[in-house]
Amino acid sequence: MDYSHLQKEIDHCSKCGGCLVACPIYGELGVETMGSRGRVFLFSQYLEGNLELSKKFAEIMSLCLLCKNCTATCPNGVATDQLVLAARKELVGKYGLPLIKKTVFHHLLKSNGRLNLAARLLTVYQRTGLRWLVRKSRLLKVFPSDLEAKEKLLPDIQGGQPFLSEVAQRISVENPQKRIAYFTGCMTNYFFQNTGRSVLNVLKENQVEVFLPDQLCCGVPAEANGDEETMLHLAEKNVKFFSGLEIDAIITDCPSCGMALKEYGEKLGTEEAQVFSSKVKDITQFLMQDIELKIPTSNIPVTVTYHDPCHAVRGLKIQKEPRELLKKIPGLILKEMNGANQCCGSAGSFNLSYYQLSMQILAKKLTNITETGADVVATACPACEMQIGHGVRQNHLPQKVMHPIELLSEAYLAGD
Amino acid sequence: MSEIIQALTKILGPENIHCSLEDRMCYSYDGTFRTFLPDYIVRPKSTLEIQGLVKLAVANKIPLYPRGAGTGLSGGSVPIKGGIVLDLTRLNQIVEIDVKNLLAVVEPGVVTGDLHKAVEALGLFYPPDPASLKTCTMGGNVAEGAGGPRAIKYGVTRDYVMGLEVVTAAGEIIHLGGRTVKNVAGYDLTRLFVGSEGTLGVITQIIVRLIPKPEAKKTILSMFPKLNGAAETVPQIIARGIIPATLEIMDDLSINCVENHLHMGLSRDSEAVLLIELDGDKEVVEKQAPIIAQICQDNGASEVRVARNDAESEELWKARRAVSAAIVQLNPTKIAEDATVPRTQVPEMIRRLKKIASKYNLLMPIYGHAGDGNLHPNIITDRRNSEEMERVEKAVEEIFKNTVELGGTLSGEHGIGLMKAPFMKLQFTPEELHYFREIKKAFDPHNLLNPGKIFGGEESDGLFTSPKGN
Repeated sequence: MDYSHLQKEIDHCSKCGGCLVACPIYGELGVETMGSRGRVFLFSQYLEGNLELSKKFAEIMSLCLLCKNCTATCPNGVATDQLVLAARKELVGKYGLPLIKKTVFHHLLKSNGRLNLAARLLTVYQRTGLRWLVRKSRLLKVFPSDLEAKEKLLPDIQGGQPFLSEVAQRISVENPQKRIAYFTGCMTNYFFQNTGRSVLNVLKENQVEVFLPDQLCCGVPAEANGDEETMLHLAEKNVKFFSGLEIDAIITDCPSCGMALKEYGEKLGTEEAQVFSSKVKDITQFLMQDIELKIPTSNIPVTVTYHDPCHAVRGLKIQKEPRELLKKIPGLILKEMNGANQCCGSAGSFNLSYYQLSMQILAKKLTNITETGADVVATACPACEMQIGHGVRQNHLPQKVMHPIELLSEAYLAGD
Repeated sequence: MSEIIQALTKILGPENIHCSLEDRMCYSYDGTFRTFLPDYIVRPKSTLEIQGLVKLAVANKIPLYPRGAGTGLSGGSVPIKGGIVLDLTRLNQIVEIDVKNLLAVVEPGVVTGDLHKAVEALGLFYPPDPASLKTCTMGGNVAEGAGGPRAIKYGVTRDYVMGLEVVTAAGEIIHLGGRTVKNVAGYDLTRLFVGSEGTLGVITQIIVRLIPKPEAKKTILSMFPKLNGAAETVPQIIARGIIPATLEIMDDLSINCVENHLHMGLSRDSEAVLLIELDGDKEVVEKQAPIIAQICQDNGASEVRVARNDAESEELWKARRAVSAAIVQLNPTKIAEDATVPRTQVPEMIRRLKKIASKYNLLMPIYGHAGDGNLHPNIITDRRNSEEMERVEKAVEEIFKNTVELGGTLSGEHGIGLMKAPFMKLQFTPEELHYFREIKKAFDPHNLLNPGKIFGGEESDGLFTSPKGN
């Protein structure tokens, strides 16, 4: 592969070490090899031919949250995450994908039918006595590592059915002030249906017409694991699904999806994809910037603290919008936590691959949340919701974890 | 090989020994561009473990290199002869903050910025503030004799170290200095160890002096169309009887690099920017700020920004903090010098530096601590360009010659390490260097503690022209 476009990132690293303080993994492990500066240096050594791909190299490159905190701290904005993604791609080229990931990426992500089936099986598992039986029978304990704890990471599938199967492909309103297409993402579709319903409710209240075309996974899980081929396949499909719609914007409620969708244009290089990408907006951004948001009438007396998802605050550069949105809710008190923009340790499937480490990073987040005394942790990212929600349940904390859109929707509903 | 690993494992357990190629590569560097692969990296947690490691290394004649966070700018910690890197970052406890005796006891792996926060929460102040303070460690600061912008008013690390615990090459644990303000018993070995760059022993605990935290501060940023205006401003401020907490300068090239990244509205036509911070009692600071602003304006400043609060002050500081890394936008290899001259020679030194840059046709942004004469001319080059690296080597030598000529020193705060070792003879006579060597021999007769540093020798030949380490 030609990585000359990444040479700038390597050349701009002065090895000052300033990023290490920002690297959550270095913070936990304290070893240079597992920190941001080490990853940049090792990738440069690989490119220069001084280092071969190895299992150790794979471990080092896997142990990155792609949280972009190093990049935000670096005076030259060195994009370590791009180097890590390139390294992962190289590793897949040499070693191939691990079997389980191959199955997920090639067979599940590329087909909604199979993904729906998998989600249904999970629902059956959670709803029938099966989960109870498995948890009770200590079956999980016979498996290695932390499978028992990991199993609890998955939130209950709220509605039972994928969100997209319960809604029409077009939801019209009278005299729409805008028309948008909603890319729900897998998390909302399969796990957080209430977020999806809230998005639709909020848009209806604001007289926005919504299209819900067919759609597949955004591709982030594949790309993060070095599977570029699947990523590109999904990008192409999604662009097709959304073409021909007369819309002002494409909305996401997940910043990781949002970032991926925004990169389709550059990745595919077609005009169609570029138009697609130029329309992508986070829901909070759309509500605060593109329309005159209807102010809810009823009082919602809750104290909320907001956690910044990495891919929102450093990826899409969204920091103000969700906070401003929350402040529009009468009675709501927003209380900032320390380190609101620090990674919660979720990072896609990182929390499954490195459960203990992920929980150590999450522990800091939970301390900061607890200190605020807030009733609700709001975060505009389903993956962060899943991670923080898991931490809250495991530690029996009183907080509810919600998407800001859910709060806004509740405020509208309370006024009706 | 495996016998050594077995012995190391006996002391530390397997999880704190690293020797994969990837690990060795990641401990081959510091903040400079030269890299050397170590054979092992060990990460002890206690003085006793360190004692065991030193004894093992000396018994087997393996070189040992103490290392903190690896942010050094002189190659002070790079393992140039292979051997064992002694990573001290796991010794990261603030052992004690003694409010009544105004001192703190810390382990060498404590991050300097963490000590700042801990003592400031108690209304106290530890002034040394190297630019890398959020990452660098106290052990590294003591070993390299780190300084920082606040040196003009508060001095450098050396001025705050009261006592040390050290593991010697013979494997003894010795205690130097102590907890008293006054202490003239015996030779001042504490000060000898500050700036000894890990060549005399391994520092395992540090006692530092603290002072009360100043009540208020005020930050002022001034842009000067002409370098001379900025240069003249510096002595005039001092002449008015004001010693600012910091008095920093950045030249045109530095300003543009910072502006490229931060977009903070610095005038790209300015030949110099001064960043001045006052601290002390609120009334005094409020009184002095307008005087400083006036002096800047009298010397032709095109714009003077005075921060109204901490947030604004932090904004202004961003420019200065970013500069060291921002200048590698120009080229990937940075040779960071810290030649230091008496304060009054700063304007002359800057003139000579500019001349050297143009003579050898090199990019050389200059910034630094104008208030204390400690300038950072940085040659920004590409180590892959051997023809240019030859010019770099000549330019560096000429910088040092001029520094010494103006009554200055090779290093104000980075240490000699590897990168400046070949130039020691420019500053010291053979007799003076002889006494340095004798001291080294007394503490480390087999030359196993951080060998090849300070004194130079064959290891540092072709420092700039040889593209890689071992």
